[in-house]
Amino acid sequence: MNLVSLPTWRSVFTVATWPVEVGRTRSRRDFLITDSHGNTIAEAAAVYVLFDLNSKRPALIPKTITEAYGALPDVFRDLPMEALPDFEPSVPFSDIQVTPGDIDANGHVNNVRYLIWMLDALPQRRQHLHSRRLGPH
Amino acid sequence: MSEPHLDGSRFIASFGVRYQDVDSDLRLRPTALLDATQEAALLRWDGVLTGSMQHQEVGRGSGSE
Repeated sequence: MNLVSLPTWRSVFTVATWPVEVGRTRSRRDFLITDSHGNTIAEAAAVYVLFDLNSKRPALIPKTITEAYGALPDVFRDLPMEALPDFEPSVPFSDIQVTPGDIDANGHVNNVRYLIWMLDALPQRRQHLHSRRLGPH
Repeated sequence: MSEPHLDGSRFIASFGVRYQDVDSDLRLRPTALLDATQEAALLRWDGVLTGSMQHQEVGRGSGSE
């Protein structure tokens, strides 16, 4: 997510979203967030992976799902999945206890909670930046 | 603030900035924006499940979806 600015209390913002690519097991969806004047607040992209809970492996996206979205064939392609770099902790870290408030309707920790935990780990002075980039890229 | 809907090919949802979503500068926390994107995608998914917006989201981005 690329942040341009952040809206203030009691303002209204709009999220527009559309599918960009649909692979065999993953799909990408883009987002454009604007304020009430149409100015861009942020742009974002998210990759979704269909996961088989029984086999604990990524699963093929069934045609019934892609057809339900009505995506045209030109969005279907195999998305490359780059390997994550090795993790080399250079600073001390602490364990986080997952609480019931972290769990969403799917019964797992809500995706946004991970980012909240990461932001909470930043030094306080960096938490007040109003323009920043969030996410793994 | 309008109801979630499809505008051409884009799914559109509006959100109001609530007090619990802002920091001490009364600006929206970035994670609340992430929450909103996630909710928009889930609302879209709900529209697919219920069939209320089936077969309307087509094509690619850049407004031509």
